[in-house]
Amino acid sequence: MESRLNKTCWANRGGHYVILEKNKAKTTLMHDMTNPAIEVKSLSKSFGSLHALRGISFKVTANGVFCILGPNGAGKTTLIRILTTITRPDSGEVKIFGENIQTHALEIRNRIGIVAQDNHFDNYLSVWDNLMLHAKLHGLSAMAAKNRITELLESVGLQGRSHSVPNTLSGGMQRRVALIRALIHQPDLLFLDEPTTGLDPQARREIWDTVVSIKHKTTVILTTHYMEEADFLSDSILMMREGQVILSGTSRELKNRLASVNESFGHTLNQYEVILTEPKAQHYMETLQAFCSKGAAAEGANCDWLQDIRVSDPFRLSLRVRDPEGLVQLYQVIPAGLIQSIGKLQLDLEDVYLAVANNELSGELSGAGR
Amino acid sequence: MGSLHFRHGIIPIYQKVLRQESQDWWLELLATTATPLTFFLTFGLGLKGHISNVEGVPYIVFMAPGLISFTILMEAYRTGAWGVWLDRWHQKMIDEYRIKPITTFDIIIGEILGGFTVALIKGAVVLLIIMLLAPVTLNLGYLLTYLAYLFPGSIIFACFGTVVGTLFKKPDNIAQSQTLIITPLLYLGGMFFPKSVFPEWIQPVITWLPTTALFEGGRQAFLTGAMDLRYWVMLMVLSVLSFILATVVFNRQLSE
Repeated sequence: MESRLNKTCWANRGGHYVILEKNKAKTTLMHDMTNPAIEVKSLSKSFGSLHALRGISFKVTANGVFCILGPNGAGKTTLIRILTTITRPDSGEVKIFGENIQTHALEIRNRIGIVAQDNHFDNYLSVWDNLMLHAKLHGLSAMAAKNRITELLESVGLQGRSHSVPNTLSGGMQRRVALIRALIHQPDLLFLDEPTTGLDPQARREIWDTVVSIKHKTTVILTTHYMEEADFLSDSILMMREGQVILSGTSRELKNRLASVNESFGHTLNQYEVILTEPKAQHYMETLQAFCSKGAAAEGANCDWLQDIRVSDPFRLSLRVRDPEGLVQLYQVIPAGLIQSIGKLQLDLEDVYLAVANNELSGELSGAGR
Repeated sequence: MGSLHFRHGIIPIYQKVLRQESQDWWLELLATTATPLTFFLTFGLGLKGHISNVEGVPYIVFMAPGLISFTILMEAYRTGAWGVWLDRWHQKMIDEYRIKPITTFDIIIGEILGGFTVALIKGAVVLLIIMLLAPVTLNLGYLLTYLAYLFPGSIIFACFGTVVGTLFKKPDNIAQSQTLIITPLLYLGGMFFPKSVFPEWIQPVITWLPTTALFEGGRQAFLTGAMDLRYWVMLMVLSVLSFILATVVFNRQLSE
């Protein structure tokens, strides 16, 4: 059905291994080019009385990173298991590259790769044998599998560990093996279910670099609890809660929606951060509170501009203000030489996530900005 | 049922079983051959002076095919039960197989064939040792007939192992099922004595045990080359039913 040439080249860039897909030649059907990578319509799944998915619908365009976010129990894992043909939906329709997952499961499995939340390896076999088994199950000939595995192991710097048993490798190494196992047959669609959980920053960065290097040829579906990871990697985001899609869009769009909703509710984003040159944040918070107390106000100070103040860390004060012009009064309390900077805080993806997870403004969020 | 995938389904799974078993092959071989050889030494050699001939052959020769069959059956059960249990509950490799372009039939057939091959190798080693220790000879002309019994017999036990490994999450349950079901089947099936020495009231039950068909029929094939069609058909029918049961249980347990 498909002719897949193993021309993937990996390069070590600045200490990070990157896949460079030179010639991913495939004989693909024309409908692949026009159909979305994933199309979900009114998808529902229940386990007894638990409604894991409640009639969700969405589309994922081909190539790029599509991130699915949501708190535990949101239905992400169930959704991934349905998309990967492991779990059957109760109702609704799912198409992968235009093929229905229930009628074309085997064909679809040949086009998807998965890095599961946990590393599942056969620890009675070496790394090499594990990879060889999966390559053969995807139909690669022995020679093609050998070449591909050699290439992939070299690319992630594990060629010297090919005879090791997986459970003797570090967490980061195991994750890299899981990742190349998922890429062994050059899938068009790659599922990464919390791929960097428990990894150190360097190992995490290596995974990120790999994802970035393949996303122009492969559609990547990512679930993660790390918002900076979602922000950095994703081209599009879907946020779920209690089996429903709460909102979707790019990271910037989601942040803008939250900002506009906040503002429409009078929750202006007048949140500022004061960075001190000395670790005296606690001291100056108390001083400012005293300054704003009734006694101080009687001497002419007006603290109506200040809504809330808290210590972020010994060097940082976080202030929520009603009127930014009042910030000038800080100089009456804190010596100018101690103030390194005063800056306006921006909303980040975590704010959006928390708003969704805590069911705050969900209805408004999904509507705003559309 | 879906089509079978030999090249990229059954064969890789089959090769995986052989590779797993070859990791500590000498230890595996020692562990597997220890029990039948202990039986052989204690009953065969120990009772040699008390039991002369059974059904026209020396007792030690009478026992030999039963011990070889015993080794193969136990190995088929062990590989089926522990292999599936490891993949399903411990290493979760089944989840990895389920996202490959293969069917559950490919998985089960690959596992069963792998288990049968391993069992056959271990049975052959037991045979060689027995031939060194006692006047037991293997007539190559009878071998095919003997294998005709062993193949369906090992499928039955491998399928039963698959069901146990699929259903039971706790490894203790595998050992318990062996004690409660496999051991009585083996001992009542005529491994040590012919069916005729059991009390008459229990003989109708024993006649229908798959192990009786295997031990009695297999012994006859091993020693004389004769085939008892009744036993053979019974084993074939049971092996087909066991396979259906194993695939239904496996599919049902894994369907979500």
